[in-house]
Amino acid sequence: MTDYKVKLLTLCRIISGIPVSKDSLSGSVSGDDRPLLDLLQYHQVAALAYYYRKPLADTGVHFDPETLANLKSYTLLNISRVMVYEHYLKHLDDLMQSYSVDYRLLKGIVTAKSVYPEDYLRAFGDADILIRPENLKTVEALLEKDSFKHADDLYRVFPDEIIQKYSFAQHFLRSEPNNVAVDLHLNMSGRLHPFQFDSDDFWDSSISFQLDGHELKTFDPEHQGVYAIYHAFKHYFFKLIWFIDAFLLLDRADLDRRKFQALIKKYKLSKLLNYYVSITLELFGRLPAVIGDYRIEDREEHSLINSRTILSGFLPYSPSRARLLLPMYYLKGPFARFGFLWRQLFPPMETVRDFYVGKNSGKGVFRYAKLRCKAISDLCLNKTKEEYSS
Amino acid sequence: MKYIHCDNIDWKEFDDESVLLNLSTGYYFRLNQVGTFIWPLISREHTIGGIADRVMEKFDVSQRQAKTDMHDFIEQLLAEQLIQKA
Repeated sequence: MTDYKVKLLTLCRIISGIPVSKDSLSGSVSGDDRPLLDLLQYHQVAALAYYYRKPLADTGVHFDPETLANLKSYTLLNISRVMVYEHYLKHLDDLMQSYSVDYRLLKGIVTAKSVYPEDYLRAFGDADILIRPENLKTVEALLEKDSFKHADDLYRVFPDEIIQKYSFAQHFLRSEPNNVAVDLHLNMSGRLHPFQFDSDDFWDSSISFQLDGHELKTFDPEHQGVYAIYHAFKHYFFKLIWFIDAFLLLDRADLDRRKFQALIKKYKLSKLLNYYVSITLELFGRLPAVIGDYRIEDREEHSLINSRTILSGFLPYSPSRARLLLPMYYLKGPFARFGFLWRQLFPPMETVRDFYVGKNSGKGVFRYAKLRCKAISDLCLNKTKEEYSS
Repeated sequence: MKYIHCDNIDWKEFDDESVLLNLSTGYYFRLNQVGTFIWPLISREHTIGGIADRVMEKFDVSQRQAKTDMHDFIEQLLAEQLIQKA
């Protein structure tokens, strides 16, 4: 194992509380820190590496002074972000309340505040907010009034009814006076995703959490934990921070095991959980508390997605190929797998009409045919690193 | 001359350094070790000259250097509307 992978792995073991001795991990721990710094940034764990620098040093993992100074800079940047978002989210909460809009905070700052030893250890770049689809217009107007501007992303080309129907997130660019970015979510999973979550179930499982004396709402620990596993999968497991999120969320003492198991069953995530278990054991050396005595049937391993490929920072697939292929491993049963693949390669007519056949139907059909050819080509040809890095 | 912090400023210390956030503009600033030492001293209780003397003692710099650096630092803080005259 290369030097920087050993250092990353040691960091994971320290986070999970597994005693690490100097001789317990095979591989050299000296050498050039530059690739490591790039990797720590890529995995969004630079602040964690700085925070745990002493335990890391005790195991023989040292950073050179320049790298330490860089890690400290990232930590200070994270601290700044937490301050900015804390301040803004309190203001946003007042705005939402004044418009009687119910919402839930997701991921980033919630995870940072709930399970990390210090909130600045979890890097995040925006605030993820779940709203009811019927409130989209109100919230958009509210954010635009508060000087937010829409990001010029793919979803902006679609009309509102499509955005609502397929639950596309709305991405806002940072608001200049507020210096923050917001992602509005209408659902917990898009209509085209392989796994489907029941949004009402999540809304009904809300809890309060404190943000600098302000009471905001998010989801209970079990729903957060299940969603964290799904979220890592959704992004093809390509960042370590999502594994750390899931590990810390599922290691919470207040998690109800039965409720967690029921959610895994309800959302047909057992196979995904099995893969998650394999990777987690390799990375952290133990399983989080909620899975610790949860009987895993047929622990599954993936020959290509494993701790080594994750630590290296490069997927063995291109993102487009991963989108098609990974659900083949994680969906349960051949019927579900084949159904997903078929839907991706040859979407239902309704979806074709929604996305590809507009006023200029000739162009729409041509575009559809071109994209289907690309999907099949992505599936057959493995472009991997070149496409990924571009 | 005495200065005070502007309203709507948040400050957090971390490892001898700190971050200043102007809540009105959303902009944040990183203060080095010397800036972090000076920031809490900026108040009605301390003159700029008095703070410069403390900087001189703490960081072992000449009086001239401390006063020049102090002057530059105060100018920057004023420009970013982080402090105002007391």
